[in-house]
This record gives sequence, structure tokens and C-alpha cells, in this order.
Amino acid sequence: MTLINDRTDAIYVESLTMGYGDTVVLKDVAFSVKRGSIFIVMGGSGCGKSTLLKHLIGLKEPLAGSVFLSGVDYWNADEATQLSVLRKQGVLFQGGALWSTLTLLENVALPLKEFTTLSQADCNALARLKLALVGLVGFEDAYPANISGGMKKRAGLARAMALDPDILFFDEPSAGLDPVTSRNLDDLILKIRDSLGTTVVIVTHELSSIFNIGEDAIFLDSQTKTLLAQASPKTLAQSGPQSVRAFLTRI
Amino acid sequence: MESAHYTIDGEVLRVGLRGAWVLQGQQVYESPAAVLKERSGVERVAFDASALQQWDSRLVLFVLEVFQAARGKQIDTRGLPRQLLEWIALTEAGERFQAKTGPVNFFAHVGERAGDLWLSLAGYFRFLGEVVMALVNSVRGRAHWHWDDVLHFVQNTGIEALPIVSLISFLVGLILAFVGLVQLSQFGASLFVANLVGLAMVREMGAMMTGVIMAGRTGAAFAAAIGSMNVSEETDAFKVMAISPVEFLVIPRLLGLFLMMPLLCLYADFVGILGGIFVAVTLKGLSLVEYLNQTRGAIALNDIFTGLIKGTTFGFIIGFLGCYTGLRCERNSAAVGSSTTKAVVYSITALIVADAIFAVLFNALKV
Repeated sequence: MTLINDRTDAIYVESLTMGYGDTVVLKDVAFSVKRGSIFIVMGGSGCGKSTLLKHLIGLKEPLAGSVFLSGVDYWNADEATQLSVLRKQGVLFQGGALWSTLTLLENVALPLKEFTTLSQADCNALARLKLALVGLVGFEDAYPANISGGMKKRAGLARAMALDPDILFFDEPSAGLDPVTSRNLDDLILKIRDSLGTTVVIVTHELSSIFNIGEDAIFLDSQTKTLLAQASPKTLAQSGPQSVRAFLTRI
Repeated sequence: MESAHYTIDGEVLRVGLRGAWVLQGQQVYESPAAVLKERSGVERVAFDASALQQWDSRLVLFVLEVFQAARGKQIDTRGLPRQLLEWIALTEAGERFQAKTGPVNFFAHVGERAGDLWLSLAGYFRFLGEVVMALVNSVRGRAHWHWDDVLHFVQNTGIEALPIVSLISFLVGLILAFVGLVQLSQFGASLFVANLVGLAMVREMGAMMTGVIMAGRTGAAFAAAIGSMNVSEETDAFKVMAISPVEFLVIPRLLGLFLMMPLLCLYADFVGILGGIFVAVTLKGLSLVEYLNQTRGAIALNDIFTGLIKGTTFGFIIGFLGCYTGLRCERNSAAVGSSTTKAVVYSITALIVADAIFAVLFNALKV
């Protein structure tokens, strides 16, 4: 593995140890995510994938180590810097996490209203645009409770993209979706990356997605509580550590 | 400095983009629609992005605004960044559905509301029917609910409510005694304050105040608990297992409240009378024995029963409305809040209406 890690990468993680209270979930994790790449975080259930994600999106503070987001040492930065870093990131939560009392349009327009100087009409126009981007034209006035799971994910994606983030995080994007819908979402992620140059970080254990769109990946292991390997999924499947190969080839 | 400037070149309008077109920034520009309206000779629109430094979807919004304004004219997009055109292409690929907006007709609106009102009335009766059927099933031994749950609600709605019921009833008795003494002492009839406090507590205030407390404490809790179960599809989980949520969730709550309300009322009556004694005896110096004798003479068994009947009915109303609004809760987080509010407001309103009906009824029956 001859990856040259650089603190100015989209994400750079250095000797990160994380856990809850006294329980350590993962220790000494180090990796970096290149700008504009599609990066996969994988591992079995309970290996700390979601915990790692929480450290990358500013929800949970590490026990030790640092996380550099767009070159900023996030957990040692002052609050104003932290907020500006968060504003350049978008997160798609597992269930969409749409605000259930707002319509889809209001969901997407809310970050625009809060963080830009655009007029109400422009905010709405832009929100409509983002919804169109994910194929949700005509559902602007629908409430999250009244749309399907796949649509919720797409609406969540539109909201995550509201402020044109540099980095987009996906927590299990294919969970609960049928293979076709899941494939469409993968295609959408690819298109977004290709046309907007967004860095994409995906937490998943869906093999087809991993091979379809993953360019670089890390594998977390719950037994050793460490990062086992970093390479492209294809390389990992061929010449990775035994347990990683087993995971990727379902043996 | 403006972020977009327009130059006319024969019949071509050239839109020059300058500086940073980003969401976080500030853009100053003349509306393209206004510019095109002013210059009527324009046939083509072209873009020049050579002075553009940085852009994101803010620029997409502007370009689409130009497209909109220049509809029917020739648009030359060669001057725009390639990625921006891809962005727009993505958006257009997504525009497969037509937005549907119907005009809101006043009469349709009124009709809809009337229909809703009828539906909601029908809903109450249906729920009442479901509760009755659940009780019938219980008698036949075929219902799914457990006495453990009933005991839980007996503790939850009854025993745990004692402190607040004590405080409120004591204060109500105390207030009645104060107000009564001020008036009655003018006639030298101070002792009759015992009649006032005793009758008022036993016939009216005991049941009413307990009802109000229960509506705020228990009815709201029922609506919130069942409502949030509804939001997370837990009630559906009961239904698919052929367990009626009305039986499993509603009956134990109703029974618990049904058992505890009369007892709480009786307790409230007692504490209220203590409040009266506190004022009359310790503050106003009436004799305790005389006060007690006067109270005993004033209150007949009938009076106590009227209070208990009211209290029990109130208990049913509170439990019924709390559970009903909970079960009818919509599937979002705000709906839990509004169904809780509804449970309290509807309960208190219904209590007062029921109290008025009882007043007429008892008067007619001369009890």
C-alpha cells in the first residue's frame, strides 16, 4: 500500500481512536480520502463503520487522534471554523432523516434560507432544482411520511446537496432499497461526482455498490478493532488480507 | 461591482459573468428579464464566462433565469463551463413529472371541512364501538390484555397522582373557605362555611379538579404514548399479529383510570374539606367539633354519590379522548405534540360540558 497521505486531502485521519466511555470501538485508524474520489468504508456489522462516520461529520469527538476535513484539524479548531467546515459537507442519513413536519421543498430550502442571502423565491427555485436533480419533480409539496423509502433517500440527498458540499457522506445508502432502486442511486452518486467533482464517502456493506462505484476503500475489523486494509475494492478482493477477501467474495 | 453585465452586439445579447457566483456570496445583477424587455431587437443570447472565478449552483440558478427570460430566442451556451451544462442536463433529466397544482375553491374547501367534521364525528362513534366490543370480548375471555397492565396504570394514574391531587384539592378547599367566610361572617353565619366547603367539594369541585388534573396528567400521557407508538408503527405491529391495539393498549388504560377516578375523587373531597377546616379552625377560630358536625349535617350520602358518578364519567371521558387522539395520531413527530394538546383541550371541554349536563340531570332528578 503506497498511498501518500496528505493533510490537505478531502479527509485525512491520523491515529484515530474512538469509542463510547471506556469501550474502545476502533483504535489507531489512519487513512485519507482523495478529492473527487468515491471512498467506501466497509466492514461487518458492529465494526464501527457508523461510529467512524460520526467522527467525520462532527457528531462525535474522538478519544485520541485527529481528523482533518478539507485541511482543517476539525476537533482542535475553534467553533466558527468547525461550523464553516460542516457547511461544506452534506450527509445523507440512513433513513433520510427528513424533517417530518416540513414538505420536501421546505426540507431542501431550509439550509439555503439559513446560510445564504438568497431571497425566498430564489431559495425555493434552487431547492426545486436540487429536487429535480434527484428526480423528485412534482413531489415538492409532499410530506416525508407520504413518500416511499427510496424517495426519502433521494430527498435526503437533495437536502444534503443544498449548499453544494465539497464532501458528501452516505450512511448505508442502499439499506432497505430494492436492487434496481439501489443501482439507480449508485448511478446518481456517480453522476453527481462526475459533474460536480464532489468527494463521496459511503458507509456500506452492499457488495454490488462497493464494486460498482467504489474507487478506494477501507475495511474495518471488529475483532482486532483496527483498520485492516486500504485499497481499491477490486485490489482488496484479489490480494487483500484473508478476512477482507472473504467479506468481498462472500466465502 | 455587478456580477453579470450585459452587452448588446447587434442582435446578440452577451451575458458576461464575473467574479464568484457562489451560494455563500453576494451577487448584484440586473434581472435578465428586464434587460430583454428593454432591448426588443435581441434575437440571440450568448454567455461569456472568461471573467468567472468560481461558481456553484448559484450560477445554475442565474443561467436558468436567463433561459427562462430568453424563451423563444436562440441561446448559445458555448461560453458556459462544461460542468455547468452537465448540471443543467442532470436537472432536466429529473424533470419527468408534471407538478400538479389545483386552484383552491372556497366552496370545495367548506365542503371538505364539513366532510372532515362528519368523518371525525363518525370516528368517535367507531372508536366507542371498538371499545365496547373489546369489553365484550374481555367478558367472553377472548381479549388480549393483562391485569398487570391495569395494575401498572392503577399505580400510574392513581397512586402517583396523589401528591398533586392533594395539593390542588387542599388549595381549592382553602379558597372556598376564604371566599365563603368573607361573605358569611357579615351575616354572623360563619359556621355555614362548613356547608359551603363540604357541598361544593363533594358535589362539584372534587370531581372537577381531579378531572382537570387527570386530563393534563394522564390524558396527555396516554395520547403521547399511544401517538408515538403509532408514529413508529408499533400499533401496526399489534394489528398484524391479530392483536387489537384497542384491546391491548386502550382497555388497560381505561380500566386503570375507571378504577382510580372514584377513589381519587373521594380523596380529593376529603382533602378539600381539610383545607376548609384549616382556614376556619386555625385561622378564623371556629370550633373543630362544631365544624365537623356542621359538615356531617350538610352532606348527604346522595351528594357523595353524585360526585362519584361525575368523577367516574370524567375518568372515562379522559381515558377515551386520550387514547382516541393517540390512536388517530398522524405519522410525524409534530403530530404527537398536537394530538397531546388535543387530548387535553378536548378532555377539559368535554368535562365541563358533561358537568353541565349532570347539573341539569341531577336537578331534574332532585338528587
